[in-house]
Amino acid sequence: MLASRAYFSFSEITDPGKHRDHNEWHQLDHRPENLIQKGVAWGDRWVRSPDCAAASMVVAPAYAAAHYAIMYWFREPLGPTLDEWFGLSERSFQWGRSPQIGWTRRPLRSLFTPLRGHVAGRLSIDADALPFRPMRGVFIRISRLHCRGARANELYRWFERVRIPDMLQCHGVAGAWSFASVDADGENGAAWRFADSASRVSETRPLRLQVYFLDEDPLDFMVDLEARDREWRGTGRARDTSDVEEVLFAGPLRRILPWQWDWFDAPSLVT
Amino acid sequence: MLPMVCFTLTELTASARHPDFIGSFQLELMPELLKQPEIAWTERWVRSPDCAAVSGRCTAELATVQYAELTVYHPPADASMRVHRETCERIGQLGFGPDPASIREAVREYFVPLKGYVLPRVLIAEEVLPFRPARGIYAILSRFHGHGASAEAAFRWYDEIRIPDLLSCGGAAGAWSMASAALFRPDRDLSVPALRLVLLWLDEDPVAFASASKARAVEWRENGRMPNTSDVEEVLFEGPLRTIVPWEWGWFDAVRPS
Repeated sequence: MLASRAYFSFSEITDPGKHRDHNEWHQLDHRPENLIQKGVAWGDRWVRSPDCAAASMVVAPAYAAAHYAIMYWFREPLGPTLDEWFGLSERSFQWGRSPQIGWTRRPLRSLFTPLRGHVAGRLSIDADALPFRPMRGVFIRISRLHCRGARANELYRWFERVRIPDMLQCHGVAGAWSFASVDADGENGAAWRFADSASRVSETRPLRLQVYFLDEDPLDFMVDLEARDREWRGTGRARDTSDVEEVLFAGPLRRILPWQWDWFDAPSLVT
Repeated sequence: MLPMVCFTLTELTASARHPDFIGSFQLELMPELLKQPEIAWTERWVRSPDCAAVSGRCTAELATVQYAELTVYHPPADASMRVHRETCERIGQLGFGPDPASIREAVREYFVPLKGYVLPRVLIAEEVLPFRPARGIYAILSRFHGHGASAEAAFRWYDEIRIPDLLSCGGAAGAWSMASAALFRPDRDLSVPALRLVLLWLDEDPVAFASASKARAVEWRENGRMPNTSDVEEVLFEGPLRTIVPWEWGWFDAVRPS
């Protein structure tokens, strides 16, 4: 499998004037420094632009103000990989290259175990290559589990056999990966903390994460998903999962092209 | 610095479709390469018509190339080279990718990175340059004849004057200098001409950068900062190329008269 662990977080820019600075810092400085690490298989970030936020299906209050999502994939050996990765966080701070501390809040951050990747039949690459394939956006679904055992197991099976294969039929879905959260504390016996850990919220209950990779416009995907969902409810292929999980987030985000960081700029006044 | 790179210059035959060629790279081969732990990075750039129009010196053989590709390896380099070769072969055997007959690969060479240069405003380490987004690159590919004092003086000129001068033009983020990997093997033959490669990563428009560097070259010549190195160096290709944004592949679409 591509990676043993993945890191996912939502981030919120608390100073509206800092979006460009934030993107410049992450895309031109911090992400490249991450990608050269051999243990970091890949890292990507997406924006919850206002049009994407408006098209969200479910957003828990805690995540309502999230502007970005970020994901890193980690290769074995996990101990040295995470030591190096968390070490970069501290080195960046010590270099004076962590300006985001002043304007970023992370309402969710967690390490996850990648469970399985799926690829739409029209693609020729395999699931491990999917995160590296250019995309126009992602659809993220995060839920918090109420229970484990047989009911949870049945839900997992439904996702693998029905829901994710159905989602792969939607307009613009190139593939998907599913994840289960792990507790960062105790990973390799070390309880790592980020340089800006005071601004990060760690979820203590088990989470499930699904990332759908989109190679068409995320809003076009949403329109198609909503139409198909109506049909799936009618044919019994969609189900109420609230007995097992609480959906915390289900919504689209856009890719971030370098230097095209204007989603949150105030519209100019028309005179 | 990372131990080795593979650099290619290619062009397509007249009948080939550019979106098919670059689409198969960006959407199939590139992800399959990047997932390999041995491959640190891979990227292609396009020599769009506006880039070709402001190119510097090019031999006849390289005057028409349309794409450059750089693949950067993690150590150990030999194992990474093998993974690179085998991944490309596997993709071909699966029937993905463009028709090989539609591609003329004018240059394929392995290079050892010698030194990295980064402007202070860019902050990152030199070896991180390939991973940093750029709007394009500026490439100088040379063939050096001889391995003596004249060549050494030319290499020093590149290091101390030529590359810093180019970096002083607006829009350059940093550069790598590289020498043919054939020079770093025990069976090397120093009587055979060897390739050198300088790549500059640009975070402003590559055509504007090339125009600015051409304009500055007048001043550099007047000030003795551009000596004639033709006794040891033959420049094979010099010019800018653009970053390729996924699904924006229309550089060679014919302009139809209105």
